[in-house]
Amino acid sequence: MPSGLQFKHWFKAAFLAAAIGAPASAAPTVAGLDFCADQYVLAFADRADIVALSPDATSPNSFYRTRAGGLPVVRGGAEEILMLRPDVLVRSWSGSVSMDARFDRVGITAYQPPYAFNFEANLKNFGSVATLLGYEAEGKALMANYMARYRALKAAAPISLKAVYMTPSGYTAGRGSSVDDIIRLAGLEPIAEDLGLNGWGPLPLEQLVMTPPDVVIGSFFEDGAVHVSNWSSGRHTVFRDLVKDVPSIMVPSGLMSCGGAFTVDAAEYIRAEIKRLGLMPQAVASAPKSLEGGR
Amino acid sequence: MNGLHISGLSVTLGDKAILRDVSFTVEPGQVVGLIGANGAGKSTALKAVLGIVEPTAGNIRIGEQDVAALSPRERAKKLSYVPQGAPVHWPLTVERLVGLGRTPHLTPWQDISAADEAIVQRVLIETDSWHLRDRLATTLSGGERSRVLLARTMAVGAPFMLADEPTASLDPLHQLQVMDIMRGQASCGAGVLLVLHDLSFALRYCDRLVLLHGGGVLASGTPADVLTDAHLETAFGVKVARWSDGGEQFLAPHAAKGV
Amino acid sequence: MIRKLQQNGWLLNASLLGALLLVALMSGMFGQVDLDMGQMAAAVFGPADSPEAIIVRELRLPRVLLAILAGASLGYSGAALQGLLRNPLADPGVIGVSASASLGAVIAIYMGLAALSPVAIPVLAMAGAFASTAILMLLASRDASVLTLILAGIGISSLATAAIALVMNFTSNPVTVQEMVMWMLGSLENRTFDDLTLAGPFIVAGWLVMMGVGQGLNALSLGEDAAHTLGIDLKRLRWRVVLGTALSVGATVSVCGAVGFVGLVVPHMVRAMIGYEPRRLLLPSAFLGAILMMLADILTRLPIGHGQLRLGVVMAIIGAPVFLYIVFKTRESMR
Repeated sequence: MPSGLQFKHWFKAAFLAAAIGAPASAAPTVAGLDFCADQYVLAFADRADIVALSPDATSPNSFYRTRAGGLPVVRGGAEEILMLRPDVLVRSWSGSVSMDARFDRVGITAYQPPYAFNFEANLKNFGSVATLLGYEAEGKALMANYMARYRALKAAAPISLKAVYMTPSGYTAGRGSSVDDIIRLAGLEPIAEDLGLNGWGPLPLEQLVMTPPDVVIGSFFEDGAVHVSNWSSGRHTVFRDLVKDVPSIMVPSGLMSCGGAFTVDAAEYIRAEIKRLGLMPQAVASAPKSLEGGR
Repeated sequence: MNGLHISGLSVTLGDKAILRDVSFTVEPGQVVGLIGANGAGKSTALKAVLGIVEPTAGNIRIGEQDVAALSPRERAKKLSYVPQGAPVHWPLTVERLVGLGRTPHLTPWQDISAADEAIVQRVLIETDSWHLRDRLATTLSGGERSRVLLARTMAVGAPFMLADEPTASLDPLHQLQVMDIMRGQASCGAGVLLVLHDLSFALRYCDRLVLLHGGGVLASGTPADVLTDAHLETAFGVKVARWSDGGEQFLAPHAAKGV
Repeated sequence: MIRKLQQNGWLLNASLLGALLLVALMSGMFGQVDLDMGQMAAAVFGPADSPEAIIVRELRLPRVLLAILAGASLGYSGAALQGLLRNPLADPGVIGVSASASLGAVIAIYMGLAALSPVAIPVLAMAGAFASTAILMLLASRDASVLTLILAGIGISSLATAAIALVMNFTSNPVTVQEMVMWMLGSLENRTFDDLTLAGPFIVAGWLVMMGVGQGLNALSLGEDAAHTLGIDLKRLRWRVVLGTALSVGATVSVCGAVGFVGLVVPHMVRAMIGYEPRRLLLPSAFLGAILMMLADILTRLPIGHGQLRLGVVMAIIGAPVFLYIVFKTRESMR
């Protein structure tokens, strides 16, 4: 159920959409200020209407990076946006409220989807941006598709394997984090539960030794893009021995970024990998086909 | 033991020639005073003999032994030094401080032995500092400090002791005490080379004097030979007054030259 | 009299050594996982493959050993530097040696030299330490004032820190700020036996070079001229302290980062126990430094920090007030 705040934002998006995109044929021009905002833009907008994206739109962290190829890119930040004058500017973690006011004076509608605490909230954000850009139908379709796949994952048989998540800096994510949600949605048992880990923190090697994991889930390790910290637990010989004979799943960064926006895609990826590695304990009904996803 | 012979000592610091061809001798049992105006090179001469400053030319021998050929430790056993205005950087006890004088006789790993302790005790008594032995060196008065640092030098037991103005900034009583100690050292067979400012002391306590002027030796010999009116006018630019008291000779600067 | 003090010296060293072993033992007992005495015994004497054995022997033991090597190096070199510079505020951190060593290590790691050979890391760290100490010797020759020394140290430290930030910013792979902070403040997290074998030989070499400087440092209490006339080769003395510090502290920093204040705090504490004679501070400072390092490391492993408490921060919280206290106490002599 959307909370009062969510409803307010949805209403605002609809109102804005009505205010700008009156003729259905003339969709508003749109720009994205950071790569999480880019995802919303790339999910719906027509290529011709995209005025500019952030430089990270084509980076491994971007879910829809294949769609972003060839599109113009903003390097000059807010100043360049002011000159480019898109109808709508979508922003996520960049920019500020005061800057929004300035955009407004020039006729640019700046929209920041609210912070999403869970899966439903994430879906709502997709819907809001879709409506804002005049693609309400597409937005609803996307939401329905994700919902169906979500339910399928929830209904799928659990995989009783203990999974631990880690990043190159030797950090792991515990209860309450979006990563934790992804692991649970995939049907795995997060080892954070056994170790009593909450939120983000360094990987506790000693505890891992006492309760070793069955599978390691890593992300942000894409070659060339990352640096293993000199003090990371991943560097320790004990860790290497621990995971030497443990299967690992490297999840593409694009699936893990942006606060769980692609939780379903990530969970599906993990499940598919578990199956491919032959670790699936029993036959699982295949999930409905997703809309063209940007992997 | 043979004498300390300084021959043709020259020292140039930077582009300034401080000493030019200075020669003199200190025999065991003698007190030799090095006098001269400020900047005449007295302290430099001492430091050159000790190796603190590198001589540009010249030769320093003890008997037939060339001092420059000695290891730092051997040299330290033969030439001991009382620096001017010597600092004490840490609050050590007087006893430990004086004990540092035994360093040349110890290997880097040895600490002082019972025999060394006996020597320390002796020099503390000789300098009237035995009652100060547990005091921290930084809490001593000026006079006490001078005596203690002197004791430190005496603890080395070197045949030659070189002191740079050991009576500077001391009150009259302590000045006399220090000079008596110097004389006492000579009586025991050491050769003492002193840099002095006080001309009366030079006259009274020294067996021989070396008067430096303009980087060279203006006069050298007995105090009577050296402390003539002519020499004093040239070297110090002063006229002196002379008098006797109880069989001792005294002199003091009296007026600037030309007045 | 002197005999009594000598005995005290032996007594102090023996007690400190005993305390060191005790703390080392204690150190093995602390961590994320609670092990009772039975498990500890099994870990030490039992087979090497049990989880308890892995935890104690491979996770905790390298850390403890490294803490001992690092703490001893920092403590000893702090005492030696203070003796050489006749200044109770000298310490590898304060005079910029640790930061420079950090810079060397950072250059080796983030500019790819470590990929050629892992030995590049301690070697460049030692080179950095050596360069900064040499600069300091030039500036601090002939009884330079305390102020000159501290200011020179600040300058060197700041330059090294800025250079570290620069190098880490310009690497092709993004580096977290946190990693940089670990280099600046020091950490013993996730140290392995590889780190020990890499840095250990250099650390021990540094100790060997610095052994036996005690007599010379004592003589220096009387000033450079008097020390010279007591038979001390001043040049050699300076070289030994500088080189020994560069080797032991440099290699330490290359695996632990720049842990500060140990070389400052520890000789100060030893002076309170045994007096000011520079020579007698050396070995006790090594022992006490090791103990302090281990205690600080234990603190970081206690659950109170949630695994986020850093060694360098703990050391700074202890050390900075002590630094200020020493300044306060000796402010008269600073003018």
